[in-house]
Amino acid sequence: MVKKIIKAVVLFVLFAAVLTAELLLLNNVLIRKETSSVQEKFAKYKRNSVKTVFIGNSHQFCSIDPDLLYEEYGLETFMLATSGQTIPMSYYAVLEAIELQHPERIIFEASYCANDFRTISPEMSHYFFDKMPYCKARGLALKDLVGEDAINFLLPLGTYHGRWKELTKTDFENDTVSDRGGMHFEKITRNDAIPLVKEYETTPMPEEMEKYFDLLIRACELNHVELIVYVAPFNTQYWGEGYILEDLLNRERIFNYVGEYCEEKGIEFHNLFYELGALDLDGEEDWMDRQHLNCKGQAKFTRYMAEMGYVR
Amino acid sequence: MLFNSLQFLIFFPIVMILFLILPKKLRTLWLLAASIYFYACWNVEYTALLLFSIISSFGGGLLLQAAGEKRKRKNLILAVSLGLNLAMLGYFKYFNFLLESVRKVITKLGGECGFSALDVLLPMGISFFVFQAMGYLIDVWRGKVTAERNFLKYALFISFFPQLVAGPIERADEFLPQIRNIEGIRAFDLNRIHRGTTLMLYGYFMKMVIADRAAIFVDAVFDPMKYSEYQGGIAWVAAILFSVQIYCDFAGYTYIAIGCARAMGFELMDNFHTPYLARSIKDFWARWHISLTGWFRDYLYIPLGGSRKGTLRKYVNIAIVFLVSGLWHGAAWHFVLWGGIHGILRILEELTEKPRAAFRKAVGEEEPSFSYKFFQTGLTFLLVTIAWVTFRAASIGQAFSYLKGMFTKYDPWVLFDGSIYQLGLDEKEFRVLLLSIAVLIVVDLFTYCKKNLVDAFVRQPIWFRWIALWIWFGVLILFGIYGENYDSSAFIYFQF
Repeated sequence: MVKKIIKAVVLFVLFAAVLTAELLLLNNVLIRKETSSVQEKFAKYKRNSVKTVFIGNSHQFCSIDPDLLYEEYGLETFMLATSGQTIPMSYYAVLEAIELQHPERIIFEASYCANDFRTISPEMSHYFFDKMPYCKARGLALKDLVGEDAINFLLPLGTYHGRWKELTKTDFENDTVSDRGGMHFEKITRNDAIPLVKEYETTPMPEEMEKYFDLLIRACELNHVELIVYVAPFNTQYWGEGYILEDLLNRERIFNYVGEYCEEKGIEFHNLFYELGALDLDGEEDWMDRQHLNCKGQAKFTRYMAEMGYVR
Repeated sequence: MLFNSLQFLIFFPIVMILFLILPKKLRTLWLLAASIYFYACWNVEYTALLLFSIISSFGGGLLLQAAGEKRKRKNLILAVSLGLNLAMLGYFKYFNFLLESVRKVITKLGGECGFSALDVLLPMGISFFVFQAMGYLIDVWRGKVTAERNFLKYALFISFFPQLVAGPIERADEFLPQIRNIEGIRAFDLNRIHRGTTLMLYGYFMKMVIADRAAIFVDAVFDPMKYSEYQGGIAWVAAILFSVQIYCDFAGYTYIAIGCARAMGFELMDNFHTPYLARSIKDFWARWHISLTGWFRDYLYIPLGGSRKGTLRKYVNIAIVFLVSGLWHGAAWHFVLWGGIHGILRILEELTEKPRAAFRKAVGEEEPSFSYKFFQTGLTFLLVTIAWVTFRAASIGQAFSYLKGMFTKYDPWVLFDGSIYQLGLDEKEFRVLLLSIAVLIVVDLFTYCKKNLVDAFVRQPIWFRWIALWIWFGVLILFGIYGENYDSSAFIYFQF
């Protein structure tokens, strides 16, 4: 009888192991890759080997090329920015970066300080969580930002299983980003001159975003990680004037507020909206869309940041 | 708790493993606790209704047993205990329907009514457990079974979680002995567990891959706000897909329930036997929801006199049974209409039996050929599908309007010009659905020919079974409808 039970248990474990492997394989293929792959690369990166980690949203990964920083300046950096990464998410990304790499510095692109969202949409949250390494920061972030829906992020197959009909070659490849999390976009869109507000015009950032921004600053302080904050320039989302222009200008006022806030806290801050002249971005060639740089603009921007010593 | 929820996928293995390894004396208590928890997951307060049904029928059973041969006393006890269960069913399921019907009549007559519907939730599975309890009471009254004296075992008989909310409606003489023998169930019967889980997986395939996929199209077309836009070809496709959906939804649930029970060592009765391969309406009802059909036959049709009191009375009895069956399915007139249509078809079948036999003889089909049987099956499916429209519609008005649209608009090109891909299921989804229905038909044909595929599968070598199961899991994971945006419309039959 005992022999029979042991045999049954062994067979069950074996069956379950292959089934689990099958689930993981399906999970890996079906998950939307795009920017979420940076989390996977970050998990695989040799521990405590990265000096600088970039955190933020699409403005961050479209502006900075960590591969160029390594090749041309010898800087060991990693791009941990994901699409739609809100300030609360960035706070947990900082915790993750400290937990897994304990870098010397974190460079944070703060344009989402002007967005009053804890999360933008389930899809954007999936970009952040799906391939996030199993660490303390992940648990805290899921509890805080996702709550009861956490199961959908622990088992993303529930969300993605219907993607079988849209699978492409890239879904079977894992290299949608470089080993340092770098992403390069070749598309070109003509862009206009970016309208600017005066540097003294300010509007406070949303209360909850300020709370998380403060937590982010404190996490760096407590762990003796240097924090550099900057804002990458971008234009109105669409062509046209009216509300969307006012929306952009209001965001710029919030960025000015963030600058003052950082100054008060003794944190290095760079508002690149006011360095557009020095950046020398070409409206005909350097933009992927009206808000994000393509690889050409990204290289220009990255070199500028390195040469100015903002990235080190 | 839904069978296709993550909660159940955690709940069931824990319940089963502990059931098998716990001391045998604790088995009843454990399964009872699990069953109550299963029901309470839906609504804790309404567990009291389940307990009420258990207590009233348990007490009724004991009193009936104690009454011995005293006929009058037995009748009174039966009437009271059945009355208690029927009163509960009537209040929670039919009271609002009655109020609404009276209100409509008064309004039509130009009067005013000062009452409104009660704020009561329809308890999940109430028709199933009340009917099971009533069947038990009648069987004890008839002396067919002896009353159960162990309250825990009786409570488990009524509340056994695999069949609690959507059947099969078990009979006391079949299922109670299994509960009484619960300590005798072999713990590690791998073959049994294998047969049970394989059946469950097939049930999940029917529910998640076929029924819930077909539901996307059906819901879009039957939408009460938009159904008038869809007529002709689209309406026919949706009606046929609803036939597939309701079969796969209900039979899928039943297979999961039977599989669960089997894995733990219990055998529940078969509830479906290839209903769409039936060659007549009578044959259909011998294959569809067998446990309910049997219940109505034994506890309603035969007590009404069955076919023993003349032809006319027989037809009246058939009509009564089908109308009650319609009402059992839902407290709405369109369900009654659905039951009525089946009743009429069934009576017409009886009335035309002799002319049909004469016709068969005239065309040389005394021993029906394959093509004749095929024609009968097709015609039965067509009639059942048309009747299902009244079941699926939200009202009698919608049902008639929908049926009119099916028969009056001629637009077969919608099947080819891509129109059907605009209603929630794109071309790829349709292909998966059609392929899955093909699998269903093959399995049903095997079953029809009395080939038990589950048993045949379990007899295969382990490497084959494992590979097949891994592929099957893959199919369920990829092509099942579930997850973040899944509209948990539960199983259609839960509402009954």
